[in-house]
Amino acid sequence: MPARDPTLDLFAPAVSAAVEPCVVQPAPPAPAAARTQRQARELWLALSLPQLPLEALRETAAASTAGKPQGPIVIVDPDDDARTVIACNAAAGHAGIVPGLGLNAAFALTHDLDVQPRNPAREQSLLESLAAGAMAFTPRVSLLDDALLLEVRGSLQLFGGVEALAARLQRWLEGFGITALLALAPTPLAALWLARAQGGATELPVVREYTSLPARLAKLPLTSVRWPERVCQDLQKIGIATVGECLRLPRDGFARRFGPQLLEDLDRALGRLPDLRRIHVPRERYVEHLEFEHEVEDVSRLVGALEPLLLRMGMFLRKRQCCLRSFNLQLHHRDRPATRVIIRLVTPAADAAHLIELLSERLERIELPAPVQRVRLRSDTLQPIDAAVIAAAGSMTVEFEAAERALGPGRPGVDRELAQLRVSRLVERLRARLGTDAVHGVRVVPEHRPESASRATEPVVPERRARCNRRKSSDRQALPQPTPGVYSPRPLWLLSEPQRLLVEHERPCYEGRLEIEEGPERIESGWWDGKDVTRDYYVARAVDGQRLWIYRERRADRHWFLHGMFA
Amino acid sequence: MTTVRSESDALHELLQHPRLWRARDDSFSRSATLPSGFAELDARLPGGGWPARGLVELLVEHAGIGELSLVMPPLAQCLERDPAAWLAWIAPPHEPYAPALVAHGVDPDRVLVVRTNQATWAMEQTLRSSACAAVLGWVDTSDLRSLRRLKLATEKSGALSFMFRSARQRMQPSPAELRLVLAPARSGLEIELLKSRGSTAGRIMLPMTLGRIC
Repeated sequence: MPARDPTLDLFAPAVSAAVEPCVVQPAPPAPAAARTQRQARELWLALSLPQLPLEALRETAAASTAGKPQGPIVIVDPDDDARTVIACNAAAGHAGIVPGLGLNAAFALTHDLDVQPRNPAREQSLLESLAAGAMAFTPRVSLLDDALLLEVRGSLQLFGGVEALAARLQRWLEGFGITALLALAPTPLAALWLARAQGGATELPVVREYTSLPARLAKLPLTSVRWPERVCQDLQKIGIATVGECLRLPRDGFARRFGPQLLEDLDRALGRLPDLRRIHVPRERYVEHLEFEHEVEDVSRLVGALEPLLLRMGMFLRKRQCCLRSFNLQLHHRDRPATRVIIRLVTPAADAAHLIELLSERLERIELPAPVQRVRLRSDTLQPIDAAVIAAAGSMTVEFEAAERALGPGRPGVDRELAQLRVSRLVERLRARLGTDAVHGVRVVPEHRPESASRATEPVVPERRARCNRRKSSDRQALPQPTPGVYSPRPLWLLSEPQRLLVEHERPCYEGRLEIEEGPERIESGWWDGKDVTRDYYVARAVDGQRLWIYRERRADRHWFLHGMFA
Repeated sequence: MTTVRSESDALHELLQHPRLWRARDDSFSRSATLPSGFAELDARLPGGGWPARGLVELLVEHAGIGELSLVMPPLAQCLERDPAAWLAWIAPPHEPYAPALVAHGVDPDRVLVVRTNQATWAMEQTLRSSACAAVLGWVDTSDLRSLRRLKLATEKSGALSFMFRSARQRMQPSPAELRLVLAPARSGLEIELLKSRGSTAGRIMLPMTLGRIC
């Protein structure tokens, strides 16, 4: 019988006299001796992706900074008021910025910092595409927030062993520009913790049996476990800094102090409790091809021919009770590369008639470079439909029409969600013809600098709207207001660029002399990001009676500028 | 005898029709109105204020003389009455400034801005979609057919739409039921009622203190 691992003994249930309110699971009955003789049933390879927020933004960044070396970039969470850095790139790391640093401290370390908000949607889609690619190595892939778990026991023989498989995975990920830390262990949690703790070591941590787990996990710092902040601090106070020391604590005391959930984590990592992971299933899409007998040159004929395709796609969506966010059309020509037409929707839709309308608007705008031989229609990933979309799609047409009849035909503002849907449809229709940038909403930003206080934004975003509604009163207070009794007027039109005014006899002119009526309102702000302003704002009246918002620079030049008009 | 009475009944009914205006009768306007916030203007406008629905045309010499502050009160009321209503700006000459919108009582979360040079098409689409309760459009077309289509779309959707055009086009016929010409003056804004249902044309001088947001 092989010697028992001494650490397992200490993790045995302690007998306690008092009656404890919380129920503690005793250590699982399977004796460790029996388990050592069995090979691990599963082998999990964890890919931890520490730079995922940065890499997710790379597609947008690459387009704008193609070729230029990247300056320091940090990612912050736009919901988080504390403004801490979530991730930073190599250039920022050189300057001394690490994840977890406050944003103000980061600005103190380096001035030309590019701050990007985190984009969870893009991160999720990047993870899903990586998962789809990882399925080339194993059919069982599981997704976490910032990691992938691959169950590879069945794949090791095909790929020639763990090291070879890991090397192939690393090469594949490097091709995408993704940094990943890998580790192999019999349980998913153990593999994940080992991967996170790796940080720069070249050797791949490999654990093949359950018995070696406690020893290997013993030296892992608690940061790789990602328990809540307060728990880690409490553990630090009693001198616990590694997982091994955690394992040595008495079970019921640990559960009583920190909750049974963390105890379960340790059990699952050691393989004492089963750890079932949801296997990722890539979502299906709708694809259809259409080949024309004669090449089509006329756009209207093309639209007519595509109608049945879109109707079939609508029926497909309805049968699956799904909706889509975007779909694309590939037009194949004879001797030229295919033309791609992508239609993106503001809110997910399943209504074939609406999609046909959008597509026809878009197609009327483009010029076919050559006659079209065949066409491929492909939808984006499908999402399960929700009730509001069904109502608008007309699947429950009867109720929709009844509601309209009861409240008056075409009356706007009937119901909040219905109104939002109508606006989304309108935005999509306008964008299909005028371009995506042509339509936007506006948002107030609590900033003293006038040019930054108003920002163009996406018109209909229900989640953001809910947040805005909750914060609305605080947002109103967040608008910079000087002391009560002194009001600060703001013009309805703000020029995109302040216009320099000519000066005559020490007075500014704009189509004649300007009379200063009110002011000055001094705005000094923005020293932290280099776009600082020191201005004195006045309300001035032009010769013909128009009221203008002008300012005077308080710095060296002391020029006068026109910034807005009280229309 | 009975025939005569029924004829007079029929005549009486006809005379009650809302589109019929009788000069000695002030109560022709059955539609609701929104107070403009300026007593002199309310006194001259038919119904005592801005119409709650329909197409209103404002002819201005150039942008920024006070036309927006004039229409902000009815827009704010329109949006406040209906918490799901939206306001659309079609082809504005400059960007609407969100803090000023808030100060005038308009919720920027329900504002849609469309920048385009196909203003007439965009405005028509916006009205036909019934998505917005109020629309501000800067259209520069003089085609009567397009303007008539805009009016029809406004009526069908029940929205309130303000159309801003150049003052040079005052001589051209327009299907809008209310037409005002705005001109800046030293002490405020000069409003000329070019066309309105029932009210006599004339000029009003509004001593508007613009920038006074309270």
